[in-house]
Amino acid sequence: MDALLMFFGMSTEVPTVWAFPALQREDLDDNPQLQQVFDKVLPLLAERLVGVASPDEFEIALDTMLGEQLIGDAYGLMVDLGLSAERPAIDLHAELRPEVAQFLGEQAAAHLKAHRRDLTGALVAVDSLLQTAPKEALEQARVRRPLDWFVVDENIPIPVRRLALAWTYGAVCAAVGGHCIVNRHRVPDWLGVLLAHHIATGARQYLRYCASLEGSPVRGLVPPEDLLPLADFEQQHGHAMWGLRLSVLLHQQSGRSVSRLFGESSDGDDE
Amino acid sequence: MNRALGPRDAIRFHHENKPRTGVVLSVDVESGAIIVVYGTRTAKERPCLFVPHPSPTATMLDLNQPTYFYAENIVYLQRDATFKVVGRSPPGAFCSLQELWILRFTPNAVRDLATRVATEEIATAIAAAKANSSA
Repeated sequence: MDALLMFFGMSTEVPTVWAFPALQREDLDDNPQLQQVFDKVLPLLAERLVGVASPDEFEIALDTMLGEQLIGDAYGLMVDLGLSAERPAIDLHAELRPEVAQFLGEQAAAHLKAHRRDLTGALVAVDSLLQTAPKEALEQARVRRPLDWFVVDENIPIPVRRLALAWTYGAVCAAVGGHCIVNRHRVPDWLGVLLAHHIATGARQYLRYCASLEGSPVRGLVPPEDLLPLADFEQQHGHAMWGLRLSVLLHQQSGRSVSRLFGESSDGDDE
Repeated sequence: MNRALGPRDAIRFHHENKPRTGVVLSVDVESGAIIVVYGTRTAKERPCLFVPHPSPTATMLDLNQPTYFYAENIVYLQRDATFKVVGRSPPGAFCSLQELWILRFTPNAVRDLATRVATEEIATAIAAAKANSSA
């Protein structure tokens, strides 16, 4: 379970920002660390996404940003500040602030409201993780690297990579949403909906993942049918990785410059 | 000159006398073998990743038409293969391509591979021994 534990570490870094859409400018006055995040880091994340002209452009910008070291560094700074700041108590019954509808749009607010349980549940998961995660796991969270590093990590089962991608999108979108609200910047409705969709999906997947870990304190927040068979993922993945190694050996032994998976032949009908 | 390739790189290369656009799935550290899945225009009743055109994924992979990626179009290239990097796969599409690939490694397929690798290793060892004795 090493890979999952490492992941467990990474996961702590991400959703701390999910609370951002609920913040107001006044909340920052007595929190200089948070203020630094909003003044210096979030504009860097937000400027790329807020300026896009279409959903397609948004998708490309978001995927491109995730692979950039500069964005990873900015995000890492935010994590550092977030981890050292005092964490507010989480109210499981908290309501969305009206500013969300004002700056992200009514549809976005309705979507977030519908997923309120996942959002607050994810924050509870982060909070309990920060208290219980091993020190090494928390150190992993501070490593500065592109935010999508896990996508190509062959130690991590693919279903887990997909979950992590969802919560990483969610974390970046939450940071951007928070930036817009604090700076009173109204985004087009379609962009608000996209941000809300990623925030809610990310929170849900993060919560499912945390709840599925053995002995998780948040297991009760997720219906049993939504829990993930993480141990099965790990076992199947290990098996496939062994197959991969064997297939590379087969390729080497073939002596050919190009060979197909399992030495299969081409259909010959490809265009 | 080729730069060091990595997973998610989209590359253009020639295979079976046709120009192909593929995505690097993995690079074997020991041998340097590059594992690539390339796209085709041919629609088949098989599991695949379909990339419509135009779409954000097509833009990021530098595809100029709708393209299908099938598991049977996974090829292993030597490290000195000639290619040109033309883009980078979006993370979600890359996970889908990896799934196509990894799902092929069923328990039966892995058992079969293990047998073939072992058999070929033995054959290679016997051939080497024969060559030595006749020298």
